Amino acid sequence: MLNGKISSVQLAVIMFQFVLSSTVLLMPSITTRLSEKDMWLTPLLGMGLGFLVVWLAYKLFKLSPEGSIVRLMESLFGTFLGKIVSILFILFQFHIVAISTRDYAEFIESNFFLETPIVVIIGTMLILCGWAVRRGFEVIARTGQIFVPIITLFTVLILILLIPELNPLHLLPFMERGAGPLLQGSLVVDGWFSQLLLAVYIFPLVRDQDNIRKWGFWCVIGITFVMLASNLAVFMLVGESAGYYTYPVLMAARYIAYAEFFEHLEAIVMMVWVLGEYIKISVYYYVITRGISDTFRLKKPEVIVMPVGLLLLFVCFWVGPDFQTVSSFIANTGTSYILIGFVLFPLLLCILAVIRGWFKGLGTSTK
Amino acid sequence: MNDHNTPLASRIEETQEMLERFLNDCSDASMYHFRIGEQLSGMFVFFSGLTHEDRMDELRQEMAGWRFHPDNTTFQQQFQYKITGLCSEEISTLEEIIDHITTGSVILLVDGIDRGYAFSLAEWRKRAIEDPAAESVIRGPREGFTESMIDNRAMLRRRLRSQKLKMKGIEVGRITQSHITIAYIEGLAAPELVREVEDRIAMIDIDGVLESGTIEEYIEDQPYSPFPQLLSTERPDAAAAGLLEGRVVILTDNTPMALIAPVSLFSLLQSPEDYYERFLIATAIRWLRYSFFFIALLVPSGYVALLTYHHEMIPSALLLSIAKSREAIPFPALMEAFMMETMFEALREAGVRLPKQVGAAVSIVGALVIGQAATSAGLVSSPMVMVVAITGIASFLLPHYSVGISIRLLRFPMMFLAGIFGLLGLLMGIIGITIHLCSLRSFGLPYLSPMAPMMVGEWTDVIMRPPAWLPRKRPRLTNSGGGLRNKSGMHVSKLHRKQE
Repeated sequence: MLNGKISSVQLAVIMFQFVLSSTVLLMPSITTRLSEKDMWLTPLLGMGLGFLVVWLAYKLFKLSPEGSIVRLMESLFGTFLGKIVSILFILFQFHIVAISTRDYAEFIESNFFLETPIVVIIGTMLILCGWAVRRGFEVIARTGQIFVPIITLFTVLILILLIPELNPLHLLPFMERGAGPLLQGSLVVDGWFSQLLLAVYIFPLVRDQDNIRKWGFWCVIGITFVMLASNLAVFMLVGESAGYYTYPVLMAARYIAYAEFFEHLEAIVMMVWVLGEYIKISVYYYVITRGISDTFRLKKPEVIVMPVGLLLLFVCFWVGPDFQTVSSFIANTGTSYILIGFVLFPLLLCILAVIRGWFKGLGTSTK
Repeated sequence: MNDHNTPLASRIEETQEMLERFLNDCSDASMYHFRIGEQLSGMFVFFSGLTHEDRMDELRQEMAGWRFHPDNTTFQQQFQYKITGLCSEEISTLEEIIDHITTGSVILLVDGIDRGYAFSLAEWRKRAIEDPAAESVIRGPREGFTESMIDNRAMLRRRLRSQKLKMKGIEVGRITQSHITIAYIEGLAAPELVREVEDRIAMIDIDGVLESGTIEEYIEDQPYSPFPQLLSTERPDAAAAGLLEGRVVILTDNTPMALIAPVSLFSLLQSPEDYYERFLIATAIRWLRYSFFFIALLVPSGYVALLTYHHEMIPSALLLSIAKSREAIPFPALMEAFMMETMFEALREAGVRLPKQVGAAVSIVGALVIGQAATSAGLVSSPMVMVVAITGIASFLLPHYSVGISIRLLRFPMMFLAGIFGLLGLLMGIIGITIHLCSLRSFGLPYLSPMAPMMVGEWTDVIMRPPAWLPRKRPRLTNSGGGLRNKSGMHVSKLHRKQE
C-alpha cells in the first residue's frame, strides 16, 4: 500500500481536485455572505496563501528525516511527545475530513435522496474510499487522472451554459465597503487552500521530486482559476442573493434549459460533487492511514484501513447533531480552526526545525 | 513425463515385448514388421493417424531393396552406415520412443541393434486455414490461425520475415504435454517482459492444457477480475501487429486462439481492421465503440435509476410517453430490466450453443420474447425493449468478445445498484469499476494506460486512429527499443513534391 510511486503531475492533479471538490458548491455562498459584491476577488487573494502552503509543505518535507513529517515531529519533541503531537495532528485531520464527509452526505440527502438514511450515503462512500486506500496512493492518483478531467469538463460546461443568463452589472460597484469584507472572505478561501499542506504526507511517494514545486504552483493557479470562474458565474447570475442559497451552483444548474430538452442538469452537479468528494475523502483517508502507520511504525498498514474507516464513520456523526451546527461551524470558527491546524502549526514546526538546524550547524562548526 | 530410462534390448522380440507392456490397451499403436534386405528384420512403431503412412511405406520399400554383403563388418554395421542421414534422430530408451511416437514420428527398430531410429513423418488430418469465424473483417487478410502449431508459426513467420522474430517453445501439462510457443520480436519486446511470460508459463503445473484459456487463467495478474488481461485472437495479422508493438504472443497447440500480452483496456477496444480502413473513418468508428462501451454498461442501469428515483430529470414530454407505456406494467423498473436482460442473455447463449438447424427457431422465439409480443402482453414496456436491444447491440459492437462479455456481466450489479441507490448507486458503481481498473495490471502494464497513468505522447492511438505516415513512437511501457515506428513524418505525396 505504501510503495506505489506517482509522478508530480499526478500529485498536482489529485491536489487540484482535493481542494476544489467541496469548494465549487459551497464557496460562492459563504464568500458572498462575507464579502458581498467583491466575493469574486477572494480566490485571487487566497491564492497567496496557497503558494505559501505549497512552499511550506515542500520545506517541511525537505527538513524531515526520511521525508516523513512524523519523524520530524519525533526528532523535534522527543519520540514519545512527538508521537503524541503526531496523533493530535491526525485527530485534527479526522475532524476536518469528517466535516467534509458529513457535508457531502447532507448535500446528497437534502437534494436527491430525502428518505435515505445518511449512514448509508456515508458508508457506501467510505467503503469505496477504503478500497482505493488499500490499493495504494498510486491507484487513487490514477482514478484522479480519470475523474478530474471529467469533473472539470462538466464544471466548465455548466458555467459555459450559464453565460446567456449572466449579468456583469451585478458586480458593480467595485470595493463598495473597502478592503475589510474582502479580506474576511478571502480568509475563508484560505481555509480551503490550507488543506494543500496534506501533500507533505504524499511527497515521499513522488518519483520526480524536483518538479514538485513547479507543479504545486500550477495546481494552486488552476484551483484559483476554477474558483474565480465559479464565483463570477454565480454572482453574475443571482447577485447578492447567492448568500441565501447553501448550494448556489446547484441552483444555477437548474437555470439551464435549452431546447426544452437539455434541462435539469442537477444530475451533472451531483456527479461532479460525488466524484470530487471521492477524491477528497480518499486523500484524507490515505493520509490518516499513512500518518498512523508512520507514527507506530506499522509493517502492514493495510490492517488499519478498516478500523480507520469505521472510526471515520462515527466521527461523521460526532461532529455535530445536525447540519445547521456543522455548516455554521464551517462558516464561522471553522476557518480559524483549519488555518491554525494546517498553517500555523506546520509553520511552527518549520521554524523550530530551521532554528534547530542552525544550532546544530553551530555545534558542528565549533567542534 | 517419463523419468525412468529403460534401455532398449538388442533382440527385437524383447523390445517388442517391453513396448507391448508399455502400450497395452493403446489400440491405436501399431507395430509393423518387415525385412530389411534379405538378412535383417525391422519393425516400425507408430501411432496410426499421426504419421504419413505412404511415406513410411516408401521408406520400407527402399530398405527392403538394400543389399548387405558378407565381409569383415556385420550386417548391423552396414545397416547403421546406410541409415545415417536418413533418420532424424537415434534413440536408446523406451521412454524416448514414446515421446517420439506421440508427436507423430515413426521409430524403426532393427534386430540385433539396441537403438531405435526416429523418422519425423508427422502428418495428420487438420482443418484447412479458414476465415476466422469470430473476428471477421471487411478489409484485411482472410486467414485465421488453425489448430496446428506448425501452421500458426508459419503464418507469423511469413508476416515478419526477420530473424528478430523469436519463438521459444515450452511444454505444459503433465499428460497433454502441449506445445506452447512464446513469440516476440527481439529489440522491441522488453526482455523482462519475455522473461516474466516465460517464468509464469513454466510455473504452470497441471494435468492438461486443452485451450489457451487455461494458460490465460494461470498467468494473468488478477484472477478475480471480470476483465480480460490478455487479448485472445485468431487473426495472425492481429498477432503480428501485437508483436510489432513490442508485445508477446503466446501460441498454444491444438487451438486457434493466440494470446497477446500485455494489453490495456484501450487496445482491447481496437480492431485490426482499424488500421486497414481510411483513418478518418477508423477514428470515427473508434469513438463509436468508446461511446457504445459506456452505453452497454450504463444504459439499463441509468434507465432504472431515472425511472425509479429521478423522474424530474427526464424531459416532461418524454416522461409522459414513458409513463403511458408503463401504465399497465405490473413490475417495478428494476424487476423489468432484470427480467429482460436475463432473457436476452439466455437467448444469446442459446443462439451460440444451438446447432444451426435450430437457430432459426431461437431467433423467432427470441423476437417474440423480446419484442412486440412481450409488449402487447403487457409484461414489459416498449422503452424497456428498446433499452435491452440497444444494450445488446452495444455489447456486440466491441471487437473482442471477452470485453463485451465482461461488460455484459457488470451490467447486472450496476442495475441493482441503480435500483437501490438511484444515480448515486450508479456513480458508486462507476467509481468502484474505475478503482478496480486503475489497480489492474497486465504484465506490469497499467490497464488504463495511457490515460491513467497519463502518457500524453501515446494518446494519438487512443483518441484517434493515427494515419500510418504520422510519426509514432513505439509504445513506451512495452518496449525497450524506443524510437519511431516509421521513418519520415511526412505523407508520401509531400515528399514527392519536395523532390520535384
